[in-house]
Amino acid sequence: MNWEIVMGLETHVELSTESKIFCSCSTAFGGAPNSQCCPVCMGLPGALPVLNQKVVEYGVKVGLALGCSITPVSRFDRKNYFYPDLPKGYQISQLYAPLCRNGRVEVAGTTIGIHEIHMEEDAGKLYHDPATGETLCDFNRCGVPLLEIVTEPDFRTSEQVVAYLKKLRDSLQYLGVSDGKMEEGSLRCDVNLSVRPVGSDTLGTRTEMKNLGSFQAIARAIQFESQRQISLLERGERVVQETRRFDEEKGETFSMRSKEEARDYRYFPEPDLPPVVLSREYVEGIRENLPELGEAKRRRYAQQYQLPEYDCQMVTSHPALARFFEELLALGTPPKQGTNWIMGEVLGALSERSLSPGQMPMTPKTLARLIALVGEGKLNRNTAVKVFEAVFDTDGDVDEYVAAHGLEQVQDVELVERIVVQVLEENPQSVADYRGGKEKAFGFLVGQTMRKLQGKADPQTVRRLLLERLGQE
Amino acid sequence: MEETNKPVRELSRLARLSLTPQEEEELAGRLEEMVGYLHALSQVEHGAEVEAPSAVPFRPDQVEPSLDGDKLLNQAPQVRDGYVVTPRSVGEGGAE
Repeated sequence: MNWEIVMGLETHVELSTESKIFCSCSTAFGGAPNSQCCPVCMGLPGALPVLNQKVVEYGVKVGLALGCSITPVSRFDRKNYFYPDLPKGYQISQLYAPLCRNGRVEVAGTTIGIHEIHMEEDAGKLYHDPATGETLCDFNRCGVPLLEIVTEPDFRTSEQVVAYLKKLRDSLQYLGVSDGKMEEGSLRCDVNLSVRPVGSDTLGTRTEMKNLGSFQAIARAIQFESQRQISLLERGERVVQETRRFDEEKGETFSMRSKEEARDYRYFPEPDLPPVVLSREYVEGIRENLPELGEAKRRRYAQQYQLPEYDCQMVTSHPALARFFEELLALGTPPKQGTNWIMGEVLGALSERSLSPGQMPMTPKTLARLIALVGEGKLNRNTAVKVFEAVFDTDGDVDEYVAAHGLEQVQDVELVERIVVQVLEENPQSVADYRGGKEKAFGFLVGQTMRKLQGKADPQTVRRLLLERLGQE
Repeated sequence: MEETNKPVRELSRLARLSLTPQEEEELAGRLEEMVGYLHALSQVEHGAEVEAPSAVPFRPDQVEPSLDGDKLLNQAPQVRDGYVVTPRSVGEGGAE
């Protein structure tokens, strides 16, 4: 029998606000344990939460970018569970009237429905000490704002899942609402998966997979879990509805808890927070100011600048790179040269230094000047790369560096010609070899000429003059 | 009154509060009163119009100093290296 995989995703996004969702404690990562807590996020008696306006704004931005309708009056609810990472004993979330509903995203040729997006608070972090058998609690993360984005069960392949998550991360970064870093936990994804015979339109029993820390882990977990379910059904057994955890090392999922043990969260409306009432003007104001997202930029670059798809993909892979590229263009850099430098030298230099594009030390102005010097024939490409390496970290002055190191390309064609003649005279064997059909000898002659000119000549000119001379006799 | 005081005793044990019999008595009375308030809800006609809520100002996204760490940790029964210590917990938590 042929089987079809049906999946839906629940993605938690940590928002990059300065302060927490319901109190003024810092959201900064890496503080000393329990140094960013207050009566509100610790749930001390009598403390009252007040909603951070930035969380609503970010939520509406994401909702609009994912094609959702924004709920004019949304509400918060309490989700009760007893666990040491949650000092209040409940998480403030949205169940009955979430902020956004009914969105849709085009991914890898298919439409993925967005069921809802809601705002909620994160829980604290626990460390289990195997030596003492104790649990250590750090509550700094309590109250850090999250968006939970819930899709419809519209995914059929792991490729679609990964493409959706990449697109989501891209949108979050372009909107400036989250760094979207999966490895740091600011993008966390649970996959609900079931299988059914191809052609069937009833859903099979699903399992929920947690602890998926990378795109690769997600693809592997989907592969394993769908096979596990298909094998069960083919043996005439049944799939149990349960939560499963993916073990990255073993590449397997294992049961965490079944539906029978599922928690009853006893949801009820949060009495300490008023409803979130959003006017049409507020929502439209945000819609009008939405930035151009990665996908739109890619399309525009390809069309407007006739750039290859690969180039468009690379320079829009991070909003900081796209900004850098657009500033280069504004400074007069030809688009294709801009993408070549970004894809080659810039990304290379960043990766050598383990920097993200957002931490780029060099300004577009410096690179634009360097590219212009090459365009004007004042620097050759090889020398320009050396200058790039020298000024990248300090954003140094390109003209000063070139002048100080005497790197300016020899413009004097007569001088180049004299050197070419000299090199030919000094290397009669190579000349003979070349004429005898040895292509390699030509490269040697170019190298000798460049060396005498201290690498400052335009290699094209050198080649042309050499060929002219060699063809004469 | 013995039966009505039972939930109060349970709750005070969980909250690590030691109550005198008088306090227990008083809280039991108040608890009963509060349960009484909830009966008012059953009087509301099904599908009744609810007054539209008015917009409430949000908080600006500004960081204010947090609670002094020691002050916070003084409330915890057991502390180690700035962490609150609890008995080993089985299962998992986390925002779901």
